[in-house]
Amino acid sequence: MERLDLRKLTGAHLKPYRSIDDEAPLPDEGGVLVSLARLKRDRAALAARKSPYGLLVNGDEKAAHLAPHLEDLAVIAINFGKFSDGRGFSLAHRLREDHGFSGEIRATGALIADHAEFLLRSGVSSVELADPIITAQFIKRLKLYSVWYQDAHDARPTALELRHGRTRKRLAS
Amino acid sequence: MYRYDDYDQTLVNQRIADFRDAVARRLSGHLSEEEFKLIRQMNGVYLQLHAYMLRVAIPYGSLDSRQMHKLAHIARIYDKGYGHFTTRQNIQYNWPSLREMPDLLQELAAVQMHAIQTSGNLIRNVTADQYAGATAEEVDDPRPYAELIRQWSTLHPEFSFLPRKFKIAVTASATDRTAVKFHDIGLILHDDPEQGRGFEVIVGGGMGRTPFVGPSLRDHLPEAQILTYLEAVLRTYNELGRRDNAYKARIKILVHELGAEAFRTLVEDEFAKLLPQADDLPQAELLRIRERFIVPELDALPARDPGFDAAYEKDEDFRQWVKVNSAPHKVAGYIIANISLKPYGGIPGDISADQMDLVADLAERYGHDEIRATHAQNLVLPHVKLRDLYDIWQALSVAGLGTANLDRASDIIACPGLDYCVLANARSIPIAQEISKRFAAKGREDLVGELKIKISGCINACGHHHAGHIGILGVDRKGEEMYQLTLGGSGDEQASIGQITGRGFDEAGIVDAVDTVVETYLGHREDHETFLETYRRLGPAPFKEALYGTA
Amino acid sequence: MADLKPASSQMISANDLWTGQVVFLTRAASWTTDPARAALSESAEDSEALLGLAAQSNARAEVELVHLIAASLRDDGTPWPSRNREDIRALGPTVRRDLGYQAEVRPTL
Repeated sequence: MERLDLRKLTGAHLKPYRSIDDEAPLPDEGGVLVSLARLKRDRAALAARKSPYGLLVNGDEKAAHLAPHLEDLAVIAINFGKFSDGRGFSLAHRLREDHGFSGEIRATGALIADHAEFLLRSGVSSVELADPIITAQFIKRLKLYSVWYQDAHDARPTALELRHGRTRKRLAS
Repeated sequence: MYRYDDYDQTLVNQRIADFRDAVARRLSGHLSEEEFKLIRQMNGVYLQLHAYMLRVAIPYGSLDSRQMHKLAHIARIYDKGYGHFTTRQNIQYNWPSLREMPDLLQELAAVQMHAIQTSGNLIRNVTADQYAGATAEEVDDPRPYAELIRQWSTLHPEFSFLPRKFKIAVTASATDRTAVKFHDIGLILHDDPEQGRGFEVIVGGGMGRTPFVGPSLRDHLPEAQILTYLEAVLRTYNELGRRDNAYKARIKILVHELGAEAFRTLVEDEFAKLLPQADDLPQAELLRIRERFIVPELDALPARDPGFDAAYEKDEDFRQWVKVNSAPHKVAGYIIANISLKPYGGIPGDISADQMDLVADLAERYGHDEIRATHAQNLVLPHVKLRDLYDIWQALSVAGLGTANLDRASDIIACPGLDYCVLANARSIPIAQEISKRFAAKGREDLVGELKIKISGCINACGHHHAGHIGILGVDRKGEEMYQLTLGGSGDEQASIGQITGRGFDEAGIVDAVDTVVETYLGHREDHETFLETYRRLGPAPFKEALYGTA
Repeated sequence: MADLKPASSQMISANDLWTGQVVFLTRAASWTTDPARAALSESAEDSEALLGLAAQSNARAEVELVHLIAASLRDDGTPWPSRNREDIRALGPTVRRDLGYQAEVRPTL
């Protein structure tokens, strides 16, 4: 995985995707996010469009249910329903680790700046936030930390790797 | 004692900077009350009945004199001159202001301490046997494993927003002093003759509204796989634990609702998937952590000391304290000394700043600079020489710390209750004080022997009442404080959950009821039976009859 | 802690965000540490209105844990919390009478 560019992670640099209700018509142009049900129903129509598309799922969705569709998806947006609900972190982890998804994983929903490190290190690669102030706070938070204990999904070395002069298998391969 | 390296220190400092920023965001209105509550709790800050409360982590209950002096300093400068040792080897302060909290945390960081993850729905401070490194009973010192888990669980990317709090205990002794089977995960270290070193893994124990003695998920987990196994358990819990009802959100409910076998299958499937990719870094890290532990260099001493023998012979009070409050050390000429924070009629676990300084001084002068906190809200000097014990005891006694009551009736565990806690339904401390006074008469506790009384002020059971030989639960009945009595619980290696005797008692009645139960035991015991042995032999009937009469 | 429904004979209490101190809402929409100077509601609507003022203060990040408490007039004509837990909140721990608000002079914020 590439080193993350904080400027592209959130805010105005995000690629725009419109979330489309299950019954609403697909727009002619522009990136869209659809539900898993819509994806299964309208796969051909989605593929026929020239713009990228992705899934919008809740944090409690099972990664295995998404697995058959991963190759087609530019993005998977995980909706965090409550800011205290951590299931989306495990979903992001599973998409990366269990299913090798290398596309964009976007976090949306009830997110605050304090989620920043946790999201990034669970495999999330972009974050949709409510307003520019929270975005600024979010970026500030990412610059604040330089030490992590756990083997995680970003390229920054962990304290354990630095202590033992080692590189992770995942990054080396 | 584990010593931080630059990485450990940097992380703690960065976390404080982050918290300082969160406080500023709350003040400027950028964080809502609910959002800020989540963040402050992750940093150990509660809002209690009267004020903020800060719970400081004492990882696996180990601290040195410099740290204890700092805790005293904080009690004086930021609080009202005292602190309270908790039932999870931590210390909490009852009066700090939010304004000063970041500075307070910075002071803690200066002595390699923090309050990270002492609250909130995440992996809490890891606890361990308070006799670690000092008792001959243990397979090995469990604390390096606890430190490995502490680091792994600190700001874990995936497991910091769990359904509910998550408590891990580690022990390596046949005698369990950690209540290991009442934890979300309990780890028991062993050396298996065929499979080598590993852990028995207990998952899904707990107290609260629905108490469970945790089932064993693994008889033997190779030590090198411990973090991978924890990851499998935590991921399963994070995904499947209930989030619809706080009282059903602990892992014990998930294990119970699925059944231990089904839960084990889920964990083992996840574990099998993780294992081939698992890094061997944690094993290397464990070795590094062991190297960074300061292991006291103990002297070669004769097994007996004439000075000690003379004092033991001549001073009856000292002799009593040694009998009750000390435990054998693995090295000849040394002894483990327990410091009771349960003076007769006192507040369990409370300690003044001056007392903290004294304990620190004694540890530095006589105790190889080591102090332990226990889940029973007492302190331990784990490495003292027999020849120094009389001096130590005299100094403790002068300061009100010399009570000889370890594991006796007045060594009561009590949560802060309605005197401090926002969740409580009834007061715990005054009940503990009154019961304690009943046993203050010289010789009464000796007659009764080992007896563990535990009091909780609400169903969350922070006072461990389910595991009390005699347990007391405070409830609110139409605005009145009432107390339920349970008997036969135990938090040791033969863990059991206490059974409710019958209708509850008021404040005065519960103290009399405990008296009645103790007298009933004394009337029925055979030979040298402990209270628990008598209860287990006879069951509740004679106690109920004494309490309520024949129905 | 079960939340009360608005009714007559209630006060609004909270904790000061900065200090954590227990405070009570006055008629003047300010906070006092002395319950005897707090507003005692005359009706459910009155409690509702006071709660609205407290919510504004909470939104301004001045106080946390805004909640209604039952109260009544004492013999001297001043109001006081009527439940045990709120009495303990107002005064301090019953086991440390030397500490807590009971041991201090109460200034009005």
